[in-house]
Amino acid sequence: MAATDVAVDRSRSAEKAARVALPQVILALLAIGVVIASGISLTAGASQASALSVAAHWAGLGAADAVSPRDLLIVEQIRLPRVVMGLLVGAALAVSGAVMQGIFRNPLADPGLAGVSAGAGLGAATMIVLGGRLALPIAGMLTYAALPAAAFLGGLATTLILYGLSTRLGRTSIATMLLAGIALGALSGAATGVLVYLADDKQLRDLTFWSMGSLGGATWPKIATLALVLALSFAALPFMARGLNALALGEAAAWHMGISVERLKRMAIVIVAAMTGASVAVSGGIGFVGIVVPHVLRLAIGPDHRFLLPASALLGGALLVLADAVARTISAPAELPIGIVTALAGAPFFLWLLLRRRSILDL
Amino acid sequence: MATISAENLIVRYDANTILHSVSFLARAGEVTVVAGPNGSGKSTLVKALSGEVRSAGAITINGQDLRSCKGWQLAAQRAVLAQETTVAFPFTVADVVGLGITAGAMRPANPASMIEMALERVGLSGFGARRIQTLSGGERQRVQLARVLCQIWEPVGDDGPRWLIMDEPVASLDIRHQIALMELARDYARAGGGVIAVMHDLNLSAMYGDQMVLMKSGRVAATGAPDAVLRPETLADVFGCRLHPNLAPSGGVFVLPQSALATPALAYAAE
Repeated sequence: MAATDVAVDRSRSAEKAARVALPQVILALLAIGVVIASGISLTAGASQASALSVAAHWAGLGAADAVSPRDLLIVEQIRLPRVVMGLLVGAALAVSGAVMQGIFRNPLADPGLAGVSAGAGLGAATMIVLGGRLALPIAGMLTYAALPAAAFLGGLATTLILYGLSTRLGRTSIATMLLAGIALGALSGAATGVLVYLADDKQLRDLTFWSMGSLGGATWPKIATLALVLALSFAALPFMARGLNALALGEAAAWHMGISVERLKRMAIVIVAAMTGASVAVSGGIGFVGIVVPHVLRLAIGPDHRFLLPASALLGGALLVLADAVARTISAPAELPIGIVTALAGAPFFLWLLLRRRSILDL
Repeated sequence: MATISAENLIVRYDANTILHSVSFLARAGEVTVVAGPNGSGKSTLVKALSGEVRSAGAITINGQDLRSCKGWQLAAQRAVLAQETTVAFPFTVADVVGLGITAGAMRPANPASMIEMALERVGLSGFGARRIQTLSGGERQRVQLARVLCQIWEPVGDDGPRWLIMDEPVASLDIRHQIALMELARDYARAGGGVIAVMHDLNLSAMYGDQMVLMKSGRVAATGAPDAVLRPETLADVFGCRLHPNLAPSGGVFVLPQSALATPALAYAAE
């Protein structure tokens, strides 16, 4: 045995330094990309308000009256919340996709495709239409918490059912998962349809707004709720990355490598449901971010979840903010729902990926 | 207590009892081979010993109660090579082997060199940057062997021997790599580690096994040194066919299927 040939060092720092150079560079580039995308989105819009002059105003540069109050209002009150919410929703969707793919051990798993978003949508619709009747005390101040909570429960229930249906004796069948996801999505859609039928005019407006997906409803209280959910979920990610890497070799191999597989799965299901639920509650169903972003990143930096998860958060945020800029400008002064933009860009891209790498289907 | 032992081990899947009160002992420094016909409970025994399936009865690893150990504590003491391991995402060979280091007790100063040494030991030097999906079945199995070796790199650690547990490890390998893997396992045992291997090939078992456990219908049918276990009457009882053990020219025993030996090519020509 050649044990003596390897110098042993109980610290982990040296181990990391040798291996992580390239992914760290890409993470840094992605962070810069987030800043650029945010800048573009702050500048873009139906109004000609200049984000640059507003930025100069914030920095205390330029004359005090160089920025009109209207421009200031547009950038600070309308565009900035949208950009911040876009970053958070994009990050939540992309990371949810990456985690779900890791748990299902398949690059096709995605909260949108697997019906989790539809389940979260049903939860949110239930709260919008029936919430007022069922529980008056939670109306008012708690609305911001009640809506994401309902969406979370809807997403959680769907994820649990989906996992139960598609996993037998520790083996997950991707074909069953996708088909069960379609069925669950259709069921949730039908139930949501019943709620739409029951809804009054104001509720109908609320429902329509997020069924198409939009960042238009961005407000700071919503952002605060979403940020809280994301902060809690992201805090768990560093503990999950190693487990997800080991899980790529199968549940038995992960257990042999010391991973508590059941705990990892429970954690992942709660996190995916929480992040999907919170983002569906504030912005409706926005598709393809969760499937395209992790996929592109696996091609660029490899599938190591220690880098894939943070990189997904950055790229997901940047892409969604850019998509929102497109949605706001392409038919200005009207606004395209952002879900249409992500689907128009994401679906052909996803098909192209599939055709290029058919083997990943593994059906 | 440099052993893995089980007493009155019982494993049930639903209504089926797979293991009926099995007792088992493997010592560090030896290669212990578990053999037997399909469905005799070999794999289940190994899964119980590695803590993978729920079982009743006492199991100890290096003197500790197996069930009182956390997953990561077990991972530091024993590594498991399955018959086949599929990797879900396009990890590189080096990534996969590196997972073994993360799971094990050692924190090498230079993991990259440990990964390369492990790949060299399985004959895959220079494969580190390849995507694992581009390798052949046998090559992938050797990558998994390298990963498992990284998890238990030192045959003897601070707190006792390390254990290499393998379930039909040579099924996908050509004869040269079958021999190479078995020699590697034997070297690991000679260096103080423990090896438990489920095997179908009785000749490899006889060549490299120090102890053999023959299983039949969820029970231990025979146990001891290969030349004591590989007897015509025992083999006929366990496998239900006529097998003829011979003395190999180099010493030790080898086993030939007897009817084929007596009437070559007649098995299909009888009608």
